[in-house]
Amino acid sequence: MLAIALTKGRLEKQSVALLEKSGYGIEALKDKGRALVFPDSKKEIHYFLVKAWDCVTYVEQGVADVGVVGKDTLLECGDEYYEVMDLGLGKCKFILASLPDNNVLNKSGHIKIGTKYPTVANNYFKQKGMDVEIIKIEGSVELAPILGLCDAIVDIMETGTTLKENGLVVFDEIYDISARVIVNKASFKLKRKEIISLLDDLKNAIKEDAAC
Amino acid sequence: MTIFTTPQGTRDLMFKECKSLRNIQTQLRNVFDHWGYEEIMTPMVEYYDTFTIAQMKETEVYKILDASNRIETLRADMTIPIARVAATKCKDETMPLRFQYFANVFKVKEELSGHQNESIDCGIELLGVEEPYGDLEILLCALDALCVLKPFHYTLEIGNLNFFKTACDRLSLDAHTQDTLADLINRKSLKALNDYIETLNLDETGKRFFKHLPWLCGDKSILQEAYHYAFHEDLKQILDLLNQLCDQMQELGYHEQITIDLGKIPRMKYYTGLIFEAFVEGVGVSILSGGRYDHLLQRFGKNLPAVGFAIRIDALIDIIQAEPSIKRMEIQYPPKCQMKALKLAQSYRNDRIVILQINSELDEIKIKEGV
Repeated sequence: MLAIALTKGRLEKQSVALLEKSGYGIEALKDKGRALVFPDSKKEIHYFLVKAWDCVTYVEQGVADVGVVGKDTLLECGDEYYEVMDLGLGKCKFILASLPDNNVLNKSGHIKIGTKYPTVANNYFKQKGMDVEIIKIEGSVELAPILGLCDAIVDIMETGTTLKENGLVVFDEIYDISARVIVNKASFKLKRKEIISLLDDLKNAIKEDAAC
Repeated sequence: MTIFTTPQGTRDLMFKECKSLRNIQTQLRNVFDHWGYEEIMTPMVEYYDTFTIAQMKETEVYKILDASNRIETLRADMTIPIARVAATKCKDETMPLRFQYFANVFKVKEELSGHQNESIDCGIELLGVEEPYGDLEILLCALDALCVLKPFHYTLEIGNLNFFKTACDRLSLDAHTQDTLADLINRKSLKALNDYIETLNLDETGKRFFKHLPWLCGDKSILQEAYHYAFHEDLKQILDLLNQLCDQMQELGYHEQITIDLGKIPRMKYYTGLIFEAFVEGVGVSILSGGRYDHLLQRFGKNLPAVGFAIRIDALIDIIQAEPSIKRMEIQYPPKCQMKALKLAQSYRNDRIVILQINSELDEIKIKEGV
């Protein structure tokens, strides 16, 4: 029996579609009702839907054997899991952006960076050899440089529309993001066969997709 | 109202949990005793230098300032204190040295992640026996210890750090590249690993080796597959050694629970050869980990080969139940009969638990069995 934690929201539809294409019985996931745990109608699997951060926690603690979660979340928290596969879903980018006349990469003095992803921002500027102050913001990150809370932001960009609408420009692309399959370490050893066969099924479905 | 709680990452163990813990400890001590390992205890605190010289990560250790302004730490593991003891207090004893310990150790973990900062460990260290003789002894003892998990599905996974290290050396990779590769391979972070390998100036053989390393895990047959990627004689020798270990364990009847992972590269920097970890169904983290650390004792002034392992007992208490306790009885007595009741209790206490209860409504002593 495998327990799979799927991330709610943006990635949910795409991951469920991929599972369906791989031949899994995900009817329950499509017609959710009030249930929280969804049995697979064909295989010895049950799914549950959780928030991205919780997906990592469930997998790290071994409550879920496998998780599907965005690389953005993985970069931000924990590393007690195996990250075995890139599903190529939910593609987007970490970017550094600000107002057109404020390229912090060329600025000296005290620099403030607003972000929902402090670890990612911190590592990025460390690599650049820059000492910056990170300010954690929970939402509408684009607002922060406009109102002068910070000099620039590190955030996720899908299409770039939101940035453009707010008059922000991208100064650097930091990291490509997509959905990943993570596996609990103990599960990888103890339920190896089931997990490898799941990965193979997913791999084949992705290949078919690419061939179309 | 103030509510008093325990600090982050620590917990109280209540009655049943303590019983389960003691049960496991008794079984493990029995195994270690029978292999000839002798118990030692070291202080809960050590000087910070003792841990940094062993390349422990700074952010992982609890730090305290003592009265003379020196930095002390809560011990983050027991291998390092034992290395200190062996190199300073046992340096003239006949080798080998065999230590066992039962101790709580402290490591700072990410807050609210569900990981414990204080863990209840036990383990053994075998000092003064070279590879591969010490390796076999320590693995067999680990497998004996794991018998406490008999009813459960568990596995002991074996690897050798040198398989990765030697490959890096033969390909002349610098320290930074080695660290990055080690981290990505150990976490089986495959996308990032493939991307990173492509940026390196490596020939096809080298690329193929590192790309496949995370997948060189499974049952013993994986060693045969690994020979295809072993591009140097030294790498083949390491595989030969692992093969031999597996054969020897099989000959001694221990083979069932053993698996291989050549992509296991532990974060503890002091390991030098054999490494192993055990996993059990129902616990998401490794419950036993160990390996060879031939250069650690040198840092404390005595050059000795060493190998050992630690078991995280607290990770096991939720799955292993306490032994059924001995018979219990309750003696209820009216206040005037206290002395009589105590005498009675004395006579029973040899082979059962006797609980005394005052009951002023009674006229005489009342005994309840099996409460």
